[in-house]
Amino acid sequence: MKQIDSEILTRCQSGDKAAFHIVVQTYQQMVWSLALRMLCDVEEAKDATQEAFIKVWVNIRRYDGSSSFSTWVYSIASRICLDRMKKTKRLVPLPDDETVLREYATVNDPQRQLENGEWVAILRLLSDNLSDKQRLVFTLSHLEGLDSTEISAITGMDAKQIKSNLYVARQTIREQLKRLGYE
Amino acid sequence: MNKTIDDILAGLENQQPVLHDADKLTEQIMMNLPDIQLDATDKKVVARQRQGIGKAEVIINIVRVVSSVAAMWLVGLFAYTFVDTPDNGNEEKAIAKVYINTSNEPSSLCGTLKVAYKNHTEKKTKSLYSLWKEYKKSNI
Repeated sequence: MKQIDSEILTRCQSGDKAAFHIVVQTYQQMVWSLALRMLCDVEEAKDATQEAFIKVWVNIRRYDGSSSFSTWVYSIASRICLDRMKKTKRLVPLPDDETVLREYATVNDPQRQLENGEWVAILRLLSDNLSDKQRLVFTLSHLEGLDSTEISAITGMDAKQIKSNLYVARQTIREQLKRLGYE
Repeated sequence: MNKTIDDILAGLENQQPVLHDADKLTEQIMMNLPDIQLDATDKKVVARQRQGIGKAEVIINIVRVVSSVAAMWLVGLFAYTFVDTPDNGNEEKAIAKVYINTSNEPSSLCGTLKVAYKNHTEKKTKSLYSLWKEYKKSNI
């Protein structure tokens, strides 16, 4: 995870917006990526990113350095995503989502980068039967590549809860892919 | 279908969605940031702190005035009580008038003062100074 200079954080804590501009530039991609994978909507992910950074700014003086700054930002962003997921309707896969996955699966090019629309379609399809917590743990662990200690600091879950949520999430996604004809 | 389940999951793991209009989003975020110094919550906290400091200052000033007055009063009382007045018959008036009602509680006097007290039983009230004078005459 990216880390920011402590001097910049100190400047932010004293109300320096120019310093916070650097913070936003450093962590914007990270927060937006998490939001997109959780919310499966490009515009809502942008709104959630904006909300997350405003919350980071307002509460930045409460950051005590007990965890890394990126972990703290992640925890704020993930809470916002969970809140938004509760408020919005449950995501239902669209008929075209399966087509997008099939196209992705047939192209055997490891260099191929998914477009944001493709990300949304594939994750909407794969995470259809996941709970919010399972989705968060799967996203943080499998897609963001964080270890269980970091996930624990972000979500507040203990190692056992993380392990069980991750196991169920993986099994559910595998079953979903099997139903769609993948082996 | 070429990719297996593991290939699909591994493929997703190895890439990130890309935010194309990052600068625009950054500007939007920066424009919507509230002023951290003028935040409503902070204002309340600062106002409460100021109120608290104001109250504390008033209390401290009251305590200062009261303790100063008390100290001055005690010094005055001390000077008034133990002033060394000339022995001209008016000393009893010049010294603090702490009277003991001997007719009520004669047994409360003790030691040598009891002797002095007995020599003055004809009087109903006596000052401490007169008792001390009597004691001096008989013992020193």
